[in-house]
Amino acid sequence: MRELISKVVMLGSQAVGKTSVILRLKGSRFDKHVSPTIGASYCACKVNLGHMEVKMQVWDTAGQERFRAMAPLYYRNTNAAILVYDITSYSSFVDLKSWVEELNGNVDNPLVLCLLGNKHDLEDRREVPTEEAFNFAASIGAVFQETSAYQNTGVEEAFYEVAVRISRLCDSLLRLNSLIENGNNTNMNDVIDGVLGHQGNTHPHVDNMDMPKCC
Amino acid sequence: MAASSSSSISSCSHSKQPPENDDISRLAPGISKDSVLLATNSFADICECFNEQCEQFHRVKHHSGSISELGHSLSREGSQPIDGEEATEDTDLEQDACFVIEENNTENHDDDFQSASEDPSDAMSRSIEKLRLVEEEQEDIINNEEWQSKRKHVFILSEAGKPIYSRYGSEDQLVTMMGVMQALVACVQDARDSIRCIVAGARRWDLVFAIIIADKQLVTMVRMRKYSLHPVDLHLILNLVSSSTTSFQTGETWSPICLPKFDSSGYLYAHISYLDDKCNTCMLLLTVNRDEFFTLSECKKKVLERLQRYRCLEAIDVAIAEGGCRVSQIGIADLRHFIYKSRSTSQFVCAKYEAPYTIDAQWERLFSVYQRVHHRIHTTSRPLKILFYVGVHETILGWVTSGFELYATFSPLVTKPVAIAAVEKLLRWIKREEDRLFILKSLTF
Repeated sequence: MRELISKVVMLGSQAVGKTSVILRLKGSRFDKHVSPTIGASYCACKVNLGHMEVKMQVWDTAGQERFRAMAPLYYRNTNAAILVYDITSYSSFVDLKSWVEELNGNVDNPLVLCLLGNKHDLEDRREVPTEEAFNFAASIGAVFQETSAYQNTGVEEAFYEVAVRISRLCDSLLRLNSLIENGNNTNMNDVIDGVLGHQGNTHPHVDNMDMPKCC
Repeated sequence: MAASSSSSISSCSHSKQPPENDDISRLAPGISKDSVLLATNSFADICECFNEQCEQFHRVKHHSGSISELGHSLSREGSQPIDGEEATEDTDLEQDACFVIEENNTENHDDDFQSASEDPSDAMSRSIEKLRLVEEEQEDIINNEEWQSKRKHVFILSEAGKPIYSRYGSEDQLVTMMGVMQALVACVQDARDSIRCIVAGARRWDLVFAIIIADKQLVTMVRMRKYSLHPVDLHLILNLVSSSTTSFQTGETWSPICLPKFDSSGYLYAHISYLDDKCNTCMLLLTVNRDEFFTLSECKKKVLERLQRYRCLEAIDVAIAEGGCRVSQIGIADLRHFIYKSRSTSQFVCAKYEAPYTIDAQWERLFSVYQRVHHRIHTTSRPLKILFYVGVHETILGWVTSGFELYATFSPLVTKPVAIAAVEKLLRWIKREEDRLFILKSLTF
């Protein structure tokens, strides 16, 4: 099976549950007392799409404001950004807009975006309406999913969708730029480098992203 | 502070030293010229004069920042790669200049921590830079295109570094390069290690320090020969690890970190991970290169594999469970507790708390007395070498020499001669156990 290696970064305000989501993805139990992340912690996960296995090198970044300046170190050359907010905190949702702006300004590569509304289990304390978040996701062409790390819902679905988008992005880059894949192991960043080298400019030809659909 | 009102302090200033001292103080257990840490007089007092070794370090350090120095050597190599090697870096690892020098490998596989540095991919990378510099300057065959185009070279040289055979070109034209190789071999032999492989090109690491920590203590450290770790920086690292244990449990952490004594003007990048499921043993790999995460992640796997093979992690667990030395095991009747610091290695031994200091309030009081004695001895206006402090609850003998600093606690009724005889005995014991109590050898690459 083909293997596609890609880099994914998790961004979002502190205490929205980035690490808890990752822990669920790794198959761990939910832990009420997850400590704040320092710098960023690394986790590799594989998603099997049938025709292709997408290996995601996930960087779970620290959400605390004091680590904000370090973020570029982790989102450099990323292929996907998973933006996490807490549905019970409107400000954590607003913060994502600045993350999107920052990514737009600093990442030249074509990028898969994903919006995760975590803590779905706390419906009674909801501050961010699903529709508003969905519309925002649509406006930036992002995958949208509400998740609950506590109940372990939506996490796998979201990462599966991100993996699908990454594989599509890879295929469209290869196809539109008439590049041929060599070997069974492909690294997204090699593809992007190849495209840049091929076209001789910094804006590779990218397929229009599919509109996001609510899962 | 109940003791303060009724305590009496009698001190011996420089002139009044006990007669037996000279002999014992020359013992200075735990002394080492080749320390893993920079030697300082005090952890906190950064203004103190350092010994010769430190001064040398500071000259190097102030000459240019350590990180920029390391970074500079990287960027220089990046921008002006040696022809021939450039082409190989991306395409074929086999083409990398890879000189394998066979030496009599008297490797010591039983030495647990030595094994971490024995990994050929680990220790040898530092030196290729030198090799490249020599290559750059040289007019001889190394710059010859045809010679460079050969995929695999074989060099044979004598133990003294004389060229004996080269697969391509004449040995005579390779004298300089083989000289460098011989120098590398000799460097490693100095550290009582042997070289098996020198790795050049893209596979080299930019590791500066590799540190293993357990229970807030340094287990071992491998460092670049040129750079030492200051106790203040190590203290920062220990604090970071012990206060963030749960944050680092989730997997591998990658974070910039500033070690102000190493270089206050820049960051090192730290790969931080626990080596065992119980999260007793933590390893930090520090580099100057922010893109080195995956290399260090691989490196961690290799180190872990080795440590597991030689059952080092279990050994660390056992050592932690034992929790340091007990005064009762030393067999000195009047001794209740002691702290001994070896100044040349910047390391200390603190006895485990035994009765009556097993109660929090009691050892807190003991430490406030230690603090007072330490403060008195180090008063800048009139520093002391020996202080015999008699309190209500205990008597403390503080003794500072050029080699060590010792605070020993006795029952309140102990006499001066008895205390001095006990301290003498204690020093002999520490000397006997010094290999176990201190890290005396410094592993470098």
